[in-house]
Amino acid sequence: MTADVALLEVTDLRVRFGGVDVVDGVSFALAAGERVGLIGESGSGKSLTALAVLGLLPPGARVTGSARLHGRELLGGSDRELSRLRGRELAMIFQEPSTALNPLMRVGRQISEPLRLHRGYSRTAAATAAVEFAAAVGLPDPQRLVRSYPHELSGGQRQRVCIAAALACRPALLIADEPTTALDVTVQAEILALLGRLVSEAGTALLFITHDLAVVAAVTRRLAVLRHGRVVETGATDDVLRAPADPHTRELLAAARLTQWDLPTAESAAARTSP
Amino acid sequence: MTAAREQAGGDATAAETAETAEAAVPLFEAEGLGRSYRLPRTSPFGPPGVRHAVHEVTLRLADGAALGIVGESGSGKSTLVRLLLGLDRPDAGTVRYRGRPVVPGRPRALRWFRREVQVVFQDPAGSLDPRMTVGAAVAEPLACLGVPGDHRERVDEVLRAVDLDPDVRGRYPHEFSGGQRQRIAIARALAPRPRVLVGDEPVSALDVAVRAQILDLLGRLAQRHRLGLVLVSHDVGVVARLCDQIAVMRDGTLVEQGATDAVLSRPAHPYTQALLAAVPRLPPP
Repeated sequence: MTADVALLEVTDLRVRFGGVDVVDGVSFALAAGERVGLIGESGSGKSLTALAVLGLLPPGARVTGSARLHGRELLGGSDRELSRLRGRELAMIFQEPSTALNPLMRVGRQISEPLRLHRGYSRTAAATAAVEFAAAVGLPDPQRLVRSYPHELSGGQRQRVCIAAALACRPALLIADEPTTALDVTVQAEILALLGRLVSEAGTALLFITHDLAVVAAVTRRLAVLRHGRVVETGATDDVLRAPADPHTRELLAAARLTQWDLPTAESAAARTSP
Repeated sequence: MTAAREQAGGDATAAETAETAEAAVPLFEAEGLGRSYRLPRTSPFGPPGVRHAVHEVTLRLADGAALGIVGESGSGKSTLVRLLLGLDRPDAGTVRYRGRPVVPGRPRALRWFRREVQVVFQDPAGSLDPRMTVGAAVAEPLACLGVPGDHRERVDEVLRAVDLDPDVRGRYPHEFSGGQRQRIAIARALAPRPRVLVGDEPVSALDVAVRAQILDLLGRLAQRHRLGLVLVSHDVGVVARLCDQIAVMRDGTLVEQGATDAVLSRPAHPYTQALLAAVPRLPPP
């Protein structure tokens, strides 16, 4: 029976700001361990959808509809209930790892904080775990690095710290909002590969929010395209990107293809390595 | 000037030879260009560290050609642009524009250069004065560069060239979307009839559909007005779209440069190979 229940089920979600529905009846579902992309241009409502699910909308927003995690309603829950879920069942990473991290706290403590809060780790157990997690996300010299502060790290390293903290409690769902948009393209490739590997290891489902169609192709199996707060198209990532049905998706795709140059050798290499 | 170039090939052979002679002189020539910055001392007694933001860069932009400079953050591409524009003094090497040295700090001597080389920056909101109407903003470079006469006609002309209704001239930048603001910034750059347009990440702040329109516009304008183009971008795809020449920059040096097609299909330097391999690809249609 549990297999029939979606991990996350969002139904007719509306977010209203000053009389305008900026998210206007969005519905989608994610199964356990699944990777789904939410794509759209700026202002399409993709980030607000994520924030609504997380209970992190700015004050003044009115939310209606439903978002259920394991069948439990998230919308309208108390801060206390949501805080218990966030970090344990539900985790997130954002575009700007520098603002997501506390500048005054050593990165090791930030990585292990969810373990202390939700899993009752002792100070020493958390410190040991922080080093292990730092190593697992590919941070160099983890013993020393956990003692440094966020400003001493590069943008890519900071995002690795955020990923380590987000996945520390092996949450059922990770919401990633443009996690590589602020990074250089070579760093982006590393972070995407790391994220893909770790969510499969942890069995975590991934809701990946991005404006970048090529990035979504690299990470997700299914996607929903948002425009003006509505889902205009859903489907398997490959199908939608090969033959989009919605005119808006078609326009986005044509625009994205403009800057994809022909590279026959890389093309065939990619075709060979993809499953 | 442009008209003369377009008419060549008709009657006068003298004009033709003059044109070929002119075409032989490249627009930009940078030779062994270097710029370094002092870093804080690591110890009170030690020497200060040095960062070579640009190191031994040599490049060339032929008349009417389009050169893309690609690099990741911190690669030195913005410093290189500042040197090319004469906004910063190199501590090694020289920049020449149409054979004449570009030496910063002499505004009067650089006036002709400023008129011929115009820039479009990443953030149109930051490069347009919010208190200035569109018409005034577009006319401003003409006034600053001492172009005589009433500029109204020229303003309307360049607004039309970027597909804006000339009636927008009385409005203010905040009334426009990001893409439209970038069109205004491009109109402003076109106003003094430049020979070269320099774009420093001109489409990086824009959504993909708008980005495509602006890229298309830049390509059309460059072709129609035979503009030389220097395009700085972190996005290889943007450069691939608009530029026939590409220079790949890393840690202040150009690791590879050449014809865009050749570099993209057969990258020689390991860094170029890694950079190209890192760009996510869409599945073929």
